[in-house]
Amino acid sequence: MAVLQIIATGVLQGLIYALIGLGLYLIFNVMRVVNFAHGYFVLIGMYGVLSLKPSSLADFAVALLFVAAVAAAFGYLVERFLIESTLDKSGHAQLVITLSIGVALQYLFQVLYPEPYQTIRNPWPIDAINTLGVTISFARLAAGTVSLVLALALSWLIYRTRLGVYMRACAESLNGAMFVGVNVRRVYRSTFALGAAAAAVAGGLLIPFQPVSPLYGLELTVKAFIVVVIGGSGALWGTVTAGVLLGVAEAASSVYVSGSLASSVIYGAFLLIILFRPQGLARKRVART
Amino acid sequence: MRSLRALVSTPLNRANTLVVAVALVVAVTFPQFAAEPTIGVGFVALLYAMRNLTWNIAGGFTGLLSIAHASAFGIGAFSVAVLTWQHGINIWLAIGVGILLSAAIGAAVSLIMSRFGVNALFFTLGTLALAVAISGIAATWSVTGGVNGLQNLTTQEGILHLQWFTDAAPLYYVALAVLVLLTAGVSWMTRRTRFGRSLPFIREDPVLAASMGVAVIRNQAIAMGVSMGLTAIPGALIAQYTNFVSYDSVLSVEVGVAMLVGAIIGGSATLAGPIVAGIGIAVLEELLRMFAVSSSNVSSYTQIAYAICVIAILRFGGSGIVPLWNRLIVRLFGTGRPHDPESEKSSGRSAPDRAPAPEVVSEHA
Amino acid sequence: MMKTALSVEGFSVWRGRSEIVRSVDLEVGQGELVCLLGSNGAGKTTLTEGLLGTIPARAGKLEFDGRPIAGLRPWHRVRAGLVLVPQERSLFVGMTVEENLLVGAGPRAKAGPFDLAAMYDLFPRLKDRAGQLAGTLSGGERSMLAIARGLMLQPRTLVLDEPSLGLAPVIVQVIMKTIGEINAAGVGVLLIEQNVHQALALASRGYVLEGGKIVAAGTAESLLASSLLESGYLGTTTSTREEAR
Repeated sequence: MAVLQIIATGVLQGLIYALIGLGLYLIFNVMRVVNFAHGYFVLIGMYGVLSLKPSSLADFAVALLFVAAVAAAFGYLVERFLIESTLDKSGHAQLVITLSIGVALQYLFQVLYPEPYQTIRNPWPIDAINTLGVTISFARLAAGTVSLVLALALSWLIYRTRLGVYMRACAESLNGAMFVGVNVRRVYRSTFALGAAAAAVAGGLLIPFQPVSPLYGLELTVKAFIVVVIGGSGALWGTVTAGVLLGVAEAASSVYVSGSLASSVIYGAFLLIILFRPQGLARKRVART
Repeated sequence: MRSLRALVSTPLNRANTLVVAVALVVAVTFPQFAAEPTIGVGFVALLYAMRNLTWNIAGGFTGLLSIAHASAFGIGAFSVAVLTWQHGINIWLAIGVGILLSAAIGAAVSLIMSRFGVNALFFTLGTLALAVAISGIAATWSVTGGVNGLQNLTTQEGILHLQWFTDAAPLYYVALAVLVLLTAGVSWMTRRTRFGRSLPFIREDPVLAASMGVAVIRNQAIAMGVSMGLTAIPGALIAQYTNFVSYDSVLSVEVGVAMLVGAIIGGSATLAGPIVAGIGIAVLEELLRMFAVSSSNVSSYTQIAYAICVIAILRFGGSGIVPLWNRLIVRLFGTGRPHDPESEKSSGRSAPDRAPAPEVVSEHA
Repeated sequence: MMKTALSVEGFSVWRGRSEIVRSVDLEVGQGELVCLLGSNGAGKTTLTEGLLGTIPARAGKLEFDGRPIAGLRPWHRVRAGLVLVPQERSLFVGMTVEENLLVGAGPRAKAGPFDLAAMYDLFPRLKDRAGQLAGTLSGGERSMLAIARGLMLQPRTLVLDEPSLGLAPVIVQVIMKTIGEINAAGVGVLLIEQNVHQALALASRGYVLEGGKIVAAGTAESLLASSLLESGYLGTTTSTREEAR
């Protein structure tokens, strides 16, 4: 019973991690930019919905669309004005810039929302459901489901649309994409905007049951990286699976290990994954001739 | 004699020699004319400068952007807290233990990462994860006081115990002396040793450096070891100053980010940059406090300010405060030489830099 | 007199901080087949990337079909009809052969004679492999796919960077013959090669690049006859390459 509860909670939380991870997966695989601000894009969604105080489900849906648009615009501007000019330099510049954007956002939220751990009233019509001895808050169930639907939508976009073809082309070979006339800059801007929007929507879905604090951003960044590293650079479903795995592992460790040590275990495991599976984030190695 | 003459050979060298001399005089006399709390600000400024400088050995000179230095800082502080405060072991010994432990972790991290062929971006990510993991361990371990941290309950004072409970000036002078020693040491290392001179090559292109016969893996490990080992010193000093340490105050990831940010603002390829930025950041924090910004927000505003500075520096292609200053002096007073190959080279470079060049790191990944 | 398609004067290209191609003058007429010869490290690939604008370059004059293109991004140069088939092929290895061909054929792509059917006529082997991942192709097939992918962009001038590199002699024959056919269809070609004799047999004119500079230029016949080739410049220039670095 406890096991069922862990799995249910973990899978649902994991689906949200998967959506966050997919945003990062796109940015990393298409642009090869390590976006340390990604978790803070989630915070844009959390704080955005928080300050709109949606009182009904319709309000909540509008709020989600709104934070998606804001994050997409923010992501677009960040890429256009801060990242783009550094793409031809070493990777360090992008790393430090995105890290600094994260730091700036974190302290901005600290100033704007000094009261920690705020949340919103459940916008969904049902509070919780109870079957087989498992209790799941409906907000969590809905968030997991919506995340899954959005992951499907992203998959459709990547494999079935023109933009998706261009994004995959850039991911496979940047030079190749340029040599067949793909406007790489436009693809990059769209990718960054899309990745930020996905993160923000995930944040909006989280806020009804996850109190927010500015420090949460860094944690989410690292979790998103965990998902992307484990998921690898292959098909997008690897990332979704990795998200679910992380969610379940987290739910399980929070039951069996005490608070901060549980996160230490997860971060320590992540360190090992970086050592043993760095190709998760690196490009597939296929001989180039 | 030759090196002394070099100090005044060009307008730039003359200007910088003057600045350093004035700064030293001000630093030494500062406690004489400053009020007691302000000496504390000076001490914190020296600490910021010190940890930026030690971070920069790995981060700036070698190009290993490490966040694990937060752990080195914290280990320095906790070594003092656990060994001296809890078990009465002499503080100098405790500092030594902190240095060695941090150095060992730094070298090990670097060696393990190289062993598994982790690239630069993963290096940062991995050191970040390590810093978070270590901080989590300290938060739950009874030896490090768990979430409550440790308090200094010792009573002995003096240089042997590195503790003066009522007077900030002695600790300030200790910090100043350590900073001067470290600066001289790092300067000597980067200019005079084979190891030090190889670091910029490793930073620019490790593969090329290896093909030129540089022992890249070994030197990266030494750089990380030295850098993290020395970062334990400011950690120990802050513990003696605040007489309280917790996972939150000295092991937080933000400490690592602050070192990285500080070194880059100052100019991470330079010796003086991290020091200038460290002192500047401390002064900025103090000024914000004076302008009656509510105290809980001071650090938030300063953090936002540094982040914006860093972004601006990287975005507009500058390389920090000190390189900017050097360029300003050269522009104002000239190079002092009839023919300067260095400036000629850089002007030749600037033209192609403007050409479109969207090539990305991808091909190396 | 043939109209000029690609016209380059005083062209220099950088890789990192070193100037690899130095003040090169080069011209390709419309529908002309010109070859550029040079040993390894002479700067040929750097020159092509400079032409496409993917690495920093500076030119006294850089015109394509009478229009200055120095300010254009690589993809705009491609859309204008200057297409490069790079030496490393840069295929999308995780996509199928057909997907590779269609990436550049978006809704706003130009219509022209080179469509999917024409490509499969030109390279029957690609038709057999249409559904296969590009990463699974042989060297010769990769070269063919790279050329076909370039042709799908309806080039006015095609820059081919060592299309025969690393291929078996039989395949080289096929590729060279096809290049002749492409040129006969009216596409200008700048053929970069180390296969000196085969390249000169196809070309009307040629340039020789050494240490980043043009050291000889002229008609195919005059180059064939020149002592430069006879002295076997290929492979004797290691020292020059070292200097260029």
